[in-house]
Amino acid sequence: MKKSWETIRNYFPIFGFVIVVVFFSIATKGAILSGTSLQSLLNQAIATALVSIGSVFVFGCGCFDMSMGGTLCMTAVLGGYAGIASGSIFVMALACLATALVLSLLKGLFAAYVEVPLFIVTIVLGFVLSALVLVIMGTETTILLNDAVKPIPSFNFTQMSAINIVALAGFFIVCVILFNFTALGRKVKILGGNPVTARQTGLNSVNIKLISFIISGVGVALAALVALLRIRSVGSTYGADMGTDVMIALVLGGMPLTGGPRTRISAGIIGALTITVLNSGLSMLGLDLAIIQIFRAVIYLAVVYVASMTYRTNLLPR
Amino acid sequence: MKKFLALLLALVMVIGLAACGEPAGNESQAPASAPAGNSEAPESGEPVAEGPELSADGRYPAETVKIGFVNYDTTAQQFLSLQDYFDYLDDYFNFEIMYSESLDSAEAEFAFIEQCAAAGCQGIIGYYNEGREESVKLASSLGMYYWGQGQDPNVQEACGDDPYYLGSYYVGNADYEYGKSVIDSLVAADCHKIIVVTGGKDFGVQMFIDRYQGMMDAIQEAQDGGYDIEVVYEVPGWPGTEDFTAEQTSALATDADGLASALSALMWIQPISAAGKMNSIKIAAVDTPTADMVDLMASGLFVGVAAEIPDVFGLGVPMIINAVQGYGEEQRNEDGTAPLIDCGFWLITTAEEMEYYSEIEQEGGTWCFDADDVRSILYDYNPELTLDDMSALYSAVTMEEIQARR
Repeated sequence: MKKSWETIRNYFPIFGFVIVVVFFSIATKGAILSGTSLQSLLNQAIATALVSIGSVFVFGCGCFDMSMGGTLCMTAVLGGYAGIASGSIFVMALACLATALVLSLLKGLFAAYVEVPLFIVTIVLGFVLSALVLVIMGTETTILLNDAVKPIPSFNFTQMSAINIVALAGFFIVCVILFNFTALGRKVKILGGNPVTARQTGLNSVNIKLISFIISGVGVALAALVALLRIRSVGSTYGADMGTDVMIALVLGGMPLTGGPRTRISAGIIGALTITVLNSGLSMLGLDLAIIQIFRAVIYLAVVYVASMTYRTNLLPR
Repeated sequence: MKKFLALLLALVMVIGLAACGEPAGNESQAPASAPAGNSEAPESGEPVAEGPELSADGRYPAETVKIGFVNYDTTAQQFLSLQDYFDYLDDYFNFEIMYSESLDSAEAEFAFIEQCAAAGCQGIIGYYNEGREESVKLASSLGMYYWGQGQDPNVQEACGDDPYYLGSYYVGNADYEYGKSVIDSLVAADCHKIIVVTGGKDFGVQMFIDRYQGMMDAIQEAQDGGYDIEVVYEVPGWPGTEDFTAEQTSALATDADGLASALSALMWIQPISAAGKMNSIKIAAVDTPTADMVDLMASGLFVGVAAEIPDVFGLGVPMIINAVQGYGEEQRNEDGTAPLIDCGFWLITTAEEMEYYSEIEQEGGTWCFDADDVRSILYDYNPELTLDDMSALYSAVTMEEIQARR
């Protein structure tokens, strides 16, 4: 009986997502499930989903990364400048990947070697990256791909949805394989669950953390690239809320932010989709803006409470 | 494995429900080309013998036109006034506004535009536009009309021929003119040593760069005319920060007798009072007329306010309704491009003007452009309407011109 209850509780995040979908389907008279809306939901969820899926590895091994917003913004800005200077999507993608990997590696090295609480380091890093973006952009508040030396191909709403599906599905499948069907996932869970035990069993925590941050970097690079292709511009405030969005997504997805054995790769995508459906649904209902804020807060609290029943650990690191 | 099967089942269910849902988006629709039929007279007692078809509650048009409103700050005074104006128009016209929350990026703007399409909106008013022409293209690709931001030459150039792009209002180089007007007011009030509040000029925000340039050119013109005037201090940035407060203190330590602000100057009243300079400094600013400012102008502290008229953004409503009703072609330029409708702005220099403008621009007010004015630029009510008529109406904004229309 107890085991059955445990099993049911594991599905609470999925139940929460389905309840949110059903509620807004009824409230919007099916509009939220129209073809246009589903494509729109995917377009909105893509950045949070990609970053969150990659972050599962980082948070899973007990690393509390608060600099996702700054990392994403810097990646998109440098990628955008590379695209404008070259007029090439390929160069833009390479610049995004290189920037995200360098920044992620930097964070991984801090996490692995420096005895300072990582969440403090990443909070500071987030501020530094945001400030650096302002310095790099100078008096510009937005850079536009339309200013590229050669025209960069643009994609319409439907084409962009297809690109998003490929990017999200590809990254999700790779991460599922890495997390569930290789030793990496088990090592991440052990390291996040109890770093002392992990060390005593001979696990190389440095390697695990570096690999986790690198995977997270790939997610950030993909998110920055699809954002550039879709919006064809990037501003100095881009991704400012990504740090908190990722944490909310992971919690809504049923994963403890302290990592450990309850870490699940599905948390990233379930949480990102739940947030997106919630925000879109509330907006489509045409409610008073203040009511939307209150309604959203109540739903977040309810879903987080339900999700928290799936684990017993505290939110903050030990 | 069971977890992923459950996830897969959930996704299948969502996709299944999607197939059952009614499509709310309208990306496959072409712009309407035929006018709606005219059959019934309005029930509101308007003197229209054979007017357009109305809704059951007597509003025009018969079918509700849903419009998305892209906003950047839901607490801004101008936005709140505009909300009241839309509420007022809602009593006469059958439209519904879907407001965005405070948006701060092109990504958020795109998401909202897509949400509007999913919610069945037929048009977008671009009160805020970070994505520039890409926002217009997105709305167009989703089958929604887009009005606003035509003062951005990139938007006009890239989207002028798009049948879903309806153009915008046009106040010339409005921000530059606001800046000039502010300095002219201080010169008229015999101010010589000026504190200039520059807002986002140093952060690359174009509207503040233009306002600042207008101020500097007006100062230069005054100096060229032999008037003794100089800038004694520049205060950058926005209120609410320690830096701004420190700059305020330093600025008020000078012997300035005038303050020219590129943004609302209400946050200067308390510091000026604390510095004991209420009688020695005069203020001119770019701001929105409110009842609170009547006394400030009567006291002589404020000598000039250059104000954008909130109702101007309401022009998007009749433009979108016209397009939805099939008059999209009629309200385009002769070369087929989207029009820029000339609009005026207010330069308020007396308490009487401030009282009048603030009273009409509030809930229960008569507004700069009332329901009759808006009705006059709807093709179903005025088949002979031209773009020049629209520009003439929206340029006639002085107190005398508004009163003449009532």
